[in-house]
This record gives sequence, C-alpha cells and structure tokens, in this order.
Amino acid sequence: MTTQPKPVVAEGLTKVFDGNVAVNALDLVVDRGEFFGFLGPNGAGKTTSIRMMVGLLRPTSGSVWICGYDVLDQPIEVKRRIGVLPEELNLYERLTGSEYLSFSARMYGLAPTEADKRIEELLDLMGLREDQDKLIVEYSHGMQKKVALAAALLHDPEVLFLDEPFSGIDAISGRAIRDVLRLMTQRGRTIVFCSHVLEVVEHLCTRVAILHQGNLVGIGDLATLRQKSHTEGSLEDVFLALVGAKTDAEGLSWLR
Amino acid sequence: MAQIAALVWLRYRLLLARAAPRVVILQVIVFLFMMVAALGAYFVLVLLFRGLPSQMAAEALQVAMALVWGAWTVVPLITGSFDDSTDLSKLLLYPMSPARMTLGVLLSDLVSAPAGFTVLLSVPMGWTRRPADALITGAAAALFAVHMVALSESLRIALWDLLRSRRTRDLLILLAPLTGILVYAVQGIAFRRASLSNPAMLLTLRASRYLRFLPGGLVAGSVTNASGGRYGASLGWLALLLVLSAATVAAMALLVRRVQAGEAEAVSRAKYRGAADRRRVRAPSAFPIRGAAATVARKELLLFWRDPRLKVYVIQAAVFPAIWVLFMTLWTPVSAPGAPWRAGLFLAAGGFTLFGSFILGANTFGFDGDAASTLFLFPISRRALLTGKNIALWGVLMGFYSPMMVLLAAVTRQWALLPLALLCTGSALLLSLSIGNLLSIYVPYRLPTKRQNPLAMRGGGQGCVGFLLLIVGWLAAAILALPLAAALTLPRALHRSAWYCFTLPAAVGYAWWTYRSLLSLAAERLERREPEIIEAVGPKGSQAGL
Repeated sequence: MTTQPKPVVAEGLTKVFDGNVAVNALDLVVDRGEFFGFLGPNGAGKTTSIRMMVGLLRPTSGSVWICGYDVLDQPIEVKRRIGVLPEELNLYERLTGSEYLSFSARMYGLAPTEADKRIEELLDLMGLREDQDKLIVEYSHGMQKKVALAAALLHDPEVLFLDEPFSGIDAISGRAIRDVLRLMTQRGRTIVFCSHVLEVVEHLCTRVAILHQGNLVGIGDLATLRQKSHTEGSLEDVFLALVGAKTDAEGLSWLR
Repeated sequence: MAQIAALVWLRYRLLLARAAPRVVILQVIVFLFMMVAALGAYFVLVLLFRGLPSQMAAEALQVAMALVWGAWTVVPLITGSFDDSTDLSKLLLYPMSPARMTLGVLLSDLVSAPAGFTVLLSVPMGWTRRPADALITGAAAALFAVHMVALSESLRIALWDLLRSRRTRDLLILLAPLTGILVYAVQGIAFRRASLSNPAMLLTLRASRYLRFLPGGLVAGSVTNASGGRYGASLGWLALLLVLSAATVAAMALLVRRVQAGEAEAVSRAKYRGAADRRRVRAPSAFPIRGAAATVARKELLLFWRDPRLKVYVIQAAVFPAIWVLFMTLWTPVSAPGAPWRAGLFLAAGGFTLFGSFILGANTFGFDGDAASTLFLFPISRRALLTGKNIALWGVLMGFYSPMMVLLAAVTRQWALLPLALLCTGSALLLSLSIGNLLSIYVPYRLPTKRQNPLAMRGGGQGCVGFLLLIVGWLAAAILALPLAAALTLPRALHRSAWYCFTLPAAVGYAWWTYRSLLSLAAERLERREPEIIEAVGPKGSQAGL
C-alpha cells in the first residue's frame, strides 16, 4: 500500500520585502482531513505565507509541496488540487456572478452538466440566486466574497486555502458555509484557514499555527498550545500569551 | 481656521499620496513647465496686444477667457467623480459649519491648481500697461478663479448622484479618448478648410457679441477697458464680476448647507440610485468553440465589451490606423487616384497595426490587473491561456481594422489591393501578438485603476527601462514583419502579379509559424514568472499584504 503525500508541506519558507522579513523559515506539515488554522496579529505574515503556498508569491527561500507537487516547479498540478479564497478577492468585476462561476468551472475542466449542477447548488447555498445575473462590480463586499468562495469550492479541491472567509458574510450564509467546510474535512479534504476571529478558529480548527512577526511561535491543537503558553484559558488567552500582547485599556489617560 | 487649514492640508496630502515619488517629480517638472508657459503666454499676449488691431486683440481675449471658463468648469466635473480628495460626503462627519466647509473646499481647490491659476493670471496680465491696470487685472483674475471653482464645486454637489454612478463613470472613461480623437479630427478638418479659404475672414469674427456677458466676457471687459484707460467702465465690469463671484460662492454655500442639513441626502440618493442601477445583465449567446483557450477568449471578449477601460485601450489601438485614414482622406489630391505611391501608402496601413496592437498586446496581463492572481490560479496550460487571450485580441482588433481598411480602399480607390491589405493586417497582428506575449511576461506593468481620472489614463506604468524594452519589442516585431512586407510588395513593385500565388501563402505561413514558435516559448516562460507578473500588475503593495 502506497502512502499518500501530505496535502501541505512547507520547508524553510521565507519571504523578505526590501530587507524586512515578512515570513521567517516557516516549517509546516498539514495532514489530510485537517482543518488547520493560521493565526497572528496584523502584519504577522499569514497572508504572505498563504500566497507563497498557493504559488502567487515567489518565496525568497524555502519550498512548498501541495499533495506532493512542488508549487514552483509543478504549478499547474498544484492548482488543479487547490481552491483559494484570497484576502483581496480580485474577481473579474464585469462578469456576472453566474458567468464568473461558469468561467471558473470551465477553467477547472468540469463537464458542463456537472458544472451547471454545482453552480446551481452553490448559488442556493450562498443565497446568490436572486443576484446571479448582476455584474460583480455591483455586488456588496459580502456578496463578492460569497462568489469567490463558491468559485474556490466549485471543483471540490483537495486543499482549500481560505483567508478570512467569514468577514462580511451574513450569519445564515456563514452557518451554511461552516457546515460545508466541516463536511469537506470529513470527506478527507484539507482546509488551511486564516482568520482574526479566534472564536471561529477555536470552534472549527483541529490544529492551529500562530505566527508573530513572521515567526512561527506555536503550532498544535489547543491542549498543546496551552501547554506551550502555560495558560489555561481560551484560544484567545493562549494567542495573547504566545504573541506577548498587552491589552492595557487603562493606558488611555482620558478614560481613567 | 484650524478646520479650513486641515481641509487644505488634506487635499494637498491626498494629491501627493496618490502619486509615486517619480510622479511627484514629474508634477514638479510639469509645474515648472506651466510657469514657463505662463511667462511665455504673457509675452505672447503682450506682443499680441501691441501687434494686433485693438479690436481683434480684444476678441482674442474674449475667446481665451471663454475657453478657460469652459475648461475650468467642466474638467473638475469629470475628474472629480474619480477623485476621493473632492468627496464631500467624507467631510459630513465632522462638526463644521457650511461657511467653513465652503471656504475650506474653495481654498483647497485653488491651492491644488497653482499652475492653472498662474496661467489664468498671465492671460489678462498680458494687457497690463500701468500699475493701476495690474491691480484691476489681478483682481479680475482672482475673482474669476473664485467664481469658476465655486461654480464647478456647485455643479459637482448638485450632480453628485449622477456623477458618482458607475454608468456615468464608465461613460466618462470612454468619452475622454473619444473627445481627444474628435478634437484631432476637427483640428485637421479646420486646418484643411483654413488652408483653402481666405485667412482674412478670421479677422472679421466678432466673438464678443456672444461672449461679452458670460463670466469670461466680464473679465475681458474689465481688462480691455483698463488697458484703454477707461477705468470707470473697467470697474463697472469688475463690479459685475464681483457680484457674479459672490453669488456663485453663496450658491455653493447653500448647496453645502443643504447637503449637511439633509445628512448627505445626495449621497443617500446616489446609493439608492446605485441599487436601482443593479439590473440584470443579458447572458451572452453560446461561444462557438470549446476548450480552455475558448473559455479564456470568451472571458476576454466579455470584458472588452463591458469594461470601459478596456474599450479605451481598444480605441487607442485603433487610433493609429484611424489617423492614417484621416491623413489620407484630407491631404491626398483627389485628382491622382491611380498614383503608384498611393498603393504603397495603402499597404503601409497594415504596418500601422503593429503600432496599434502593441498598446494592447504587449501588456496582456496588465488588463487583468488584480484579477491576474485569480487567472493564474486556474490549472489550464499556459499555452491555452495565451492562445485564448490572443484569439480575443486578434478578433477585436480585426473587427476595428477591417472596416478602416475598407474605408481606406474607398478613399484611395485601391479596391484591388484590399484583400492584400487585410491579409497583411491579419498577419502583422499575429507577429505583433507573438512579440507582445513575450513582453507581457517580461515587462508587465500596472495599468491605471478604475478609480483614476480618465483624463490621466494615457500614461503607462512601465517605467523608462520597460518603455525602452517596449520600443525594442516593437522594432523586433517590425523586423519580423519585413519578410511579410517583401512578400506583399515585391510582386507588385516588379510587376509580377503571378508571384502572389506563392508569396501570399508563404507570407501567411511564415506569420503563423513565427507566432506558434514564439507562443511555445512564451507559454513555457509564463509558467515560471507568474508571481512576478502578479506583483507587477496587481495592486501596489499587494506583495506586502501580510
């Protein structure tokens, strides 16, 4: 029996912008079926890491393998296996929602009948049925995010990279999307998930990596992270302890 | 006072914040140039005043002031709808009286156009003979500037919802280059007409009959009377201008007060209208070809049709042959339809497609902009991706160029050469696209975003080295096109028309083979340079989006 390669493997992943180290020698292995959370304060390097992992940004050094394929050497094979919801949505705003999904389906090589079926279901799930024939430029940010997410889910990718998927999404769609993502992990799909909303991460993720100023300061499940941070609290407490954050509201002199 | 100063600072800061350092340097150079131009205008006007009959000089001033008034009033309406620094709704949160806000916005507008104000001042100052004249002309220019700024702001506030709608903005983006082409055409026709008619007729024009009671006419009346020593009449015109300026400022203050009192009523209305604008878009008919390349081509065609920015570039790409057609129409003698050089000029029109198509073909991912990162996420072969883009561009440009060639054939009466010229155009486009693909991969650059001023869309963002590489690329395409030109022109030049049986298929085959070879090379290189392309064409600072 042959062992399947790990969905995400990063080794020594580093990115330097104009002398500033955005991500510093990140080593990471994500297992099949994992719901993996990426946490960090603003500017920690989360988005940069994800952009390198999906081949949208060339690392200064280090390598990434997705399902055994090198992201830089075999980009097409990698992109066949991943779905990405970037932080900046970058959609074709002059296409309608349904046109964009149809375009994406064709680009992923889905058969027309299967594509139509999946698009219909995703439009219903995202609550976009009424607006499917309007230009994306006319959509609200939340609707644009739903379209982008639908496009990322459309081809049933083996690994799904989601950067802040729930920001701007209404509660009903948010619940539906969470259920879909859970279902995907149960079917062996892997999700790498990036968010500032710690409650959501704690609720969904099986394992979490915490980045701070480009460095990996903690990785593991909540119990492991509690142990490492010597904190017995929520993920928020663990996170604050690991990044060494001070939350001193008393510091505002005029509120005392 | 602090609030007004803050508004002026905000405008200045936002103007600078939008620009890269090299653009700031460019703006400084432009500013200095405008100063020199103002000085030049001053001396020209002095000469004009001294050299022309006084009545004619006065007419010239009337026309100049009317043009300044029109431009200064209308241009901010176009550019303002793309400019966040003039967005009044952002100021409504602050505790500011309407009078202060009006004054702050007026001063911001004046300080953000110092070069324009200098030019404006120089025009009437050209008429100054005595110190008293200088006082009057200076006051007239200042009042005129205040009136124009207040008028354009009033119009902008009154038309807020209309100017901010996507449809208006799309239209404005499209209108800017079309107006440029129209001005060029009118200019060409006017020169042609002027060369045929008696120039002395121009001396008899009496523009003042129509313009004297317009705002520009009030300035001209005050200035010319002061210059002639008729100070009473001059001050009378100046008083009228003062009343007009005060009325315009009062109208602006009233509009600002209404916007404030209605809690951004205009903005709310704009949002409401925006929602009403969200109509369904008709689904396009099925695309005849299948496959990844066809999917990309279909997407490109939809965007060419729907995105006004892309339409602008297509129009610009068509401008070169259009100017060629115009030149041929206006300047070739009708009496010599069969002249052999005209056949050469006609065939050379195909060569102009090399110029035109380069605008679009040499930065194909620049048109995707931010969405290039989405496009590169799709697992299709890069050869199919480039092919799809090329099919769409070739189709669109041939759609523009073909009718032009037909028109040119009609003008030059070279119908027999039309098939040859079309063949030449199609093949030249292939060669242009083959070099363009490589340049798109190695010299990609960011295009202006949709929020930017349409009047400033002509500049590329490729930098000096990139621009030089584009020139080198164009020369390479021109060299590649030499065998094509030889195959099309030699049989005619040597009076061996039968040779076309061999040279035409050879020319098309050569262009096709060259395209396919360079396409393979480009596809292979594209796969390895995608991150760099995204970084170059995506939003500034996207690489640092940590």
